Amino acid sequence: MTRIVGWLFNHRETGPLIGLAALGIAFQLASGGKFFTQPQMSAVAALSSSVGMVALGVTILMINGEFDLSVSQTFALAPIAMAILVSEYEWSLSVAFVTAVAIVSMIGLLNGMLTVLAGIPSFIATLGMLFIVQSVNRKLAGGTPVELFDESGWAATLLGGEIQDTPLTAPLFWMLAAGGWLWFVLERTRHGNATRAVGHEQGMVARAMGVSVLRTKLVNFVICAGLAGVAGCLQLVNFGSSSVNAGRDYNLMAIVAAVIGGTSLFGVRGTIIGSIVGAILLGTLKSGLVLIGTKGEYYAGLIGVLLLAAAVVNQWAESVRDRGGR
Amino acid sequence: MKADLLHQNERVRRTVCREPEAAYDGNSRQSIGRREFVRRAVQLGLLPPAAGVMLAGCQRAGSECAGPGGESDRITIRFVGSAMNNPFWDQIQRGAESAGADLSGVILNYVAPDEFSHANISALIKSTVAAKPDGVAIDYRGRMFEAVTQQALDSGCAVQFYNNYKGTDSSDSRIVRLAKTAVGLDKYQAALRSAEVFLPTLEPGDPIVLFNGLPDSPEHLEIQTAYMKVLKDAGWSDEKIEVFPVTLDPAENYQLMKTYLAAHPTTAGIICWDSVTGSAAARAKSEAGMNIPTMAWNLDRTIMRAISDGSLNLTLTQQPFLQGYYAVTALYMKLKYKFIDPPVVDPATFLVTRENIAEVKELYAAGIAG
Repeated sequence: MTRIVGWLFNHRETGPLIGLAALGIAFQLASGGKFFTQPQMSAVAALSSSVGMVALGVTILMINGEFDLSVSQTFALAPIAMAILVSEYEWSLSVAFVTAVAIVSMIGLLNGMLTVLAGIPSFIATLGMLFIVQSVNRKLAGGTPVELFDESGWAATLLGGEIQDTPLTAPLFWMLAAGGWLWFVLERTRHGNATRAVGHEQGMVARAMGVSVLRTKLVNFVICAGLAGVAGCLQLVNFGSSSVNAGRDYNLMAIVAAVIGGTSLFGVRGTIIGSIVGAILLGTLKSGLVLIGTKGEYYAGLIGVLLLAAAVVNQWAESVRDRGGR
Repeated sequence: MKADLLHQNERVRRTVCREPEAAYDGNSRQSIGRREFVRRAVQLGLLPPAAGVMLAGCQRAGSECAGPGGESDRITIRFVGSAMNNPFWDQIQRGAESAGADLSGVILNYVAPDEFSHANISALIKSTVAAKPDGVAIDYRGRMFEAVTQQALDSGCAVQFYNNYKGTDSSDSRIVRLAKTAVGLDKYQAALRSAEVFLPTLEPGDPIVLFNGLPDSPEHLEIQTAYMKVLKDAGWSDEKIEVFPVTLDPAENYQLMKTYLAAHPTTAGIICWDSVTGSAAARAKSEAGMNIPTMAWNLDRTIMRAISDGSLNLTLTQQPFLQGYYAVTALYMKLKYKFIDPPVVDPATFLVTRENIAEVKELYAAGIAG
């Protein structure tokens, strides 16, 4: 028993998982059994999958000791670019998707170069990029939504399909798949080791070990922007429309999901599974509070209170773990 | 009766204000020379934007930059919007820019803040006025804009209010006058007019939800207040009306609204007052299998599709293109012909339903309805 408890405490995902389970049970009881139902789980899945996918990229970058605040705009740019390529230039959905993701990945590369080569703190470099991409989005789409309602075929099913009467949608599947891939990269590859090493002591240890800080960071910036673009495109295909306002607060929400999931704001520490749990917790909160009939004027406040509670529990679990480690 | 309401857009009020003591003095407009311009810009810490403005002016106006104090026939008009990324404000911009292109000699520059806030708009008006245009169009929203408007008027810049008729409570008679001669829509009245058409589709006393996509905007609160009043006057109690704040993200709104309707299956009507929440509400209720009356404001493709397929009963367009166009035209009349007061133009409420959606689609495709 003690060994099981010890094992649980050694995993950063444990705290958020317990919090998620507690929240789910609380909402199930408070809603009179309506929470664990297909429509509700479907809403949680939809609210979690986009921000979750963005949070995955943000997590790997945070472990790396960097931030990308431009993800909310790259999230919006990719679907706008994809919709324009499909509707105005009559490209196939699959080619437009790959092109849109490639475009936003280039933005990630640019973010990385500004941070690593020009030495601009990522907080500033990506904030500047956020405004630039925002302007591009406005130029491309203006205030009107872009739409892809009439798409069908294998690419549409693969990117945005859903299994009827289940909460299983393509965006959720892709978030989990991307999570699995990134977990493998982080835990089982040299790049994963390099990512954690680079996040430590501003990369000095990594350099001493012969790790290429430049390459590691560039790759992670590209992954982060690319995943944000993928998330935006998946949402467009699944939902049918998107706009410059899509994902407008995802740059902060993704960080929140990562931190709730146990990722440190100061680099090195963090887990992919924790971030997925953090994103699902966010989706559960947003959806569950509406389901139990929270009055509109208290809705945002309660989300804030519960997020703070989750952060406090995490902090406590972290300190217990640290004491155990000593 | 219904037909009358549907075509209120054709109503254009024309009034001539006759208050000589507050008359706009068109001759007080000053042209300043390049050196003076740079000197003032340096004083204000605005050299980089000033350099941009001068460069743009040289490119566009040619002879205007020929020398200090040089006169020209060009009229520079700055149009300060209140937000970006929004179909309504896109149309305002399009209307203003179309007028700028149509009116001879006008150089029009449209600017708007990234995020809607009084502070952001006010700051933008300030920097716009500092650039000394001939005229500036301002979405005056209350006392917080009084000082900057006075600054514009004191500097000899012609001012035109648009989008509403705020400012009649100002202690400055010039601002009162501008408020009374604005190009704009009385949003409170527009909400009441749309409610006149929408309410008969509801059963009095049934639960109603009002989804507010911008709960922090005073303008949205004003519209909310109008709907609350009309519902209460028609017999709804406080308990039967819920106001729920949502976001500007359509996909997130859709999920939250779907959940809301699952939690409140007795909801009998949905009122929204922008296109982002309106289109999400139409889809959410259809997805939930609820055939309940729903209304929105403004137009985009998704809204028009919802009107066509019946998932949205009604939307209200504030004729933003006309507002932008007429505001620039009014400034042009003041500057070019020294009009003391241009006519008041109220583009009024244009209610779009299934009956007239075909006409509206044509206007939308032409880029003049939104």
